[in-house]
Amino acid sequence: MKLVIQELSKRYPNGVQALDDVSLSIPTGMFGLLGPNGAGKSTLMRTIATLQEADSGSIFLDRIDVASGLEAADRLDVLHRKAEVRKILGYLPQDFGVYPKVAAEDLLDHLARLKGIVPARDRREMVHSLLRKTNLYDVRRQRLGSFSGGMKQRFGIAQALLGNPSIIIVDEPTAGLDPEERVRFHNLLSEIGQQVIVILSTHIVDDVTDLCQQMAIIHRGRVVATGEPNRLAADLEGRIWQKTITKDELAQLEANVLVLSTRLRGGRLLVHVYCDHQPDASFVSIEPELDDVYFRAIKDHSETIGATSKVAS
Amino acid sequence: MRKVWLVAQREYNAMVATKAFLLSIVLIPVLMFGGIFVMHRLRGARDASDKTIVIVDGSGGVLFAALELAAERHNASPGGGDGGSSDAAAAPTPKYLLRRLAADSLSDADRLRLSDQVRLAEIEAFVEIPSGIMAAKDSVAPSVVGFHGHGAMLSAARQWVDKSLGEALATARLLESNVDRDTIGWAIAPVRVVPLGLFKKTDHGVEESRGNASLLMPLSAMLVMFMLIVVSAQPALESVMDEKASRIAELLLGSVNVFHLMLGKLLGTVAGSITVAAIYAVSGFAVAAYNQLTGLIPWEMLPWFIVFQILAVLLFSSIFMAVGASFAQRNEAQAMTLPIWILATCPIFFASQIVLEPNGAVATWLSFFPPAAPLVMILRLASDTVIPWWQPIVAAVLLLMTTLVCVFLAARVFRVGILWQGKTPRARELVSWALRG
Repeated sequence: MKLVIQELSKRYPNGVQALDDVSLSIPTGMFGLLGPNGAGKSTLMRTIATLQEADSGSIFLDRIDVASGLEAADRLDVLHRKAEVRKILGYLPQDFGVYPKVAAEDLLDHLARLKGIVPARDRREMVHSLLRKTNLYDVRRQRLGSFSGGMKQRFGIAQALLGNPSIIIVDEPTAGLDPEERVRFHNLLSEIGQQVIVILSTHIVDDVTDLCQQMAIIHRGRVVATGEPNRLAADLEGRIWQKTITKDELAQLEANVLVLSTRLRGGRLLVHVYCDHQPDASFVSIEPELDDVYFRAIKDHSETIGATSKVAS
Repeated sequence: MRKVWLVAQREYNAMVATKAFLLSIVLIPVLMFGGIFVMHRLRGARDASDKTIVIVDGSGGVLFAALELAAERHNASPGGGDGGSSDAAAAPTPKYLLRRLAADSLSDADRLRLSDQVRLAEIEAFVEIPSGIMAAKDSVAPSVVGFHGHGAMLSAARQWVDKSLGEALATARLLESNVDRDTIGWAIAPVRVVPLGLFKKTDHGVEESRGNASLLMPLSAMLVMFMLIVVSAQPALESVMDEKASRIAELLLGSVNVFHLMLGKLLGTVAGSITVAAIYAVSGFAVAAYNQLTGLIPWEMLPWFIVFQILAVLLFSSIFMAVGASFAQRNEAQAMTLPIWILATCPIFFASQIVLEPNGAVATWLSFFPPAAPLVMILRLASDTVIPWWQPIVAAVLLLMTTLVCVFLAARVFRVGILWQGKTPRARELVSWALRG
């Protein structure tokens, strides 16, 4: 099974180009969509989730035909066969809400009915099974308004799993969760992502590092990097250097090399730079991390946009 | 359609289970009909203290003497009744104490002094009867008498002076013409014209159709319809705004198409409105049955009432839902509903004219203006006048078409607006959402 996105574009009426010619191939498993806030991740998620129209482009879900074994034999047009897509789609939006006075079990049951799970017995079994899976069974009669952030997020994933979906979209799911809830949520997602396509949209690099077999980095509506996280990091082997400096030295360093990231450590700055060779003896070579891949892709793209706009003006 | 039904079911349950809904069922009729009752009671409890009226009699005392006699009769009768309505007879009315000024006419200084006395509530009013009012038949006599007082236009004292002075003047003139008092009394004896309904054939023979209710029935029907619009449209707005603010719509839209979501919410709202209507109808019927007034109920207009009620609720609720979806801030949405409420209430401003002339130009033209049509048509249909048969049909068709267009455009605004967060869209953006989706 594979979700194929081809040349997808979307411009909002206020002129913001949210998606610019996005093409991706998303296989079964966990797929991380990484990008800063406002990069276009949510627009892409909503478009796949049939909540929003694209201006142009296409999205197809290629399913394996059991008889022939061919992946593209059963091709579902996501943008035009929305009713069918909704049946096989689980969507956990960023910042979703609930009816605060309704019990978790009742709302899940209502959503299951909307999803088309008709036999009451099947529905009840599915709702209970999902509540157990998300560790919410004991609080199933509690009003959703009394749930903590983590419990609400787990309820969100429970509703996204209704109807055994083939594609699950989770948009910024760990934002606002404490470390314990985050780990619990990661375990849940990785368990789910073994047989279906799970698209995890996030701006937290560690989420992708921990969970995803495939990923893409999106910036200002464009895909600026795609591949396996380990391979993308390996591509930078020998070109990531680290040094500890004072804050005053940063400006001078930025003038000479491409500074990917800075983080405070003991009141001093730990910098990662990208360079084909050792900038000077004070720099040490380090194992590239996904953070470095992310920042390099973003900075490269920002520079390309800057250069393009200079040429245009 | 199954998903629409599920959304409608949930919307209906959420709507009728709220305390606000239960309160509105009780409070709105209490406020509306209670207001009418309080006004009625206050009219009965009007100021009944003695009223001094200063008369400047240009007739040389002839008319003052006649007015004094009239005042004596008025003050002596229970409730001050002069053969007025039963209400007037039951409610206490003030006694009129007349005081004649020595002068036949007033200077400006006198007028200022008397005006100050009125302002200080020392006297109720002063009346200037011009000299020459008793002039001979073939000469030109002044025909205007001045009544100076607070709220002279609506003053009960002015109405009493007007009636009594007219009778006094007629009496004095007839006496001058040598007609004896008995004949005069017989000739000017007042006759009352009371408002009654038309007659129609019933199972019990020929009966007066609605009697005094001919005015009340259309107004009540209109008020009930308006109440139902209020208890439907406002919760529709609130529901959309709540779902938008809590972002639950995004969760629902993962399973249901946005048009189905809005349609479901609309149908849930209509069902809620029908529930309220049924509660009002059963209560109204019980009250009518208890008072043996079921014969006053215009059963023939019931189908039209249902048709116009449903269309009105659909029309206004869809517009309110689009408004709710378009604005992130509750106060902005509430402000936006003001012009819509003005449209909805405009028939109320014309209600008396429509009831008096159900086939007049205003009533007819407003019937074909869809936002006003439901209330106007109910006013007209509940009246005794025969409305041209095609007019309710044309009004309903126009309303239906407008409702469909509104629901369609509102759904497009809803689709974009429900996921719209942050700044308030500009008018141009709203139009663009409605036209292009």
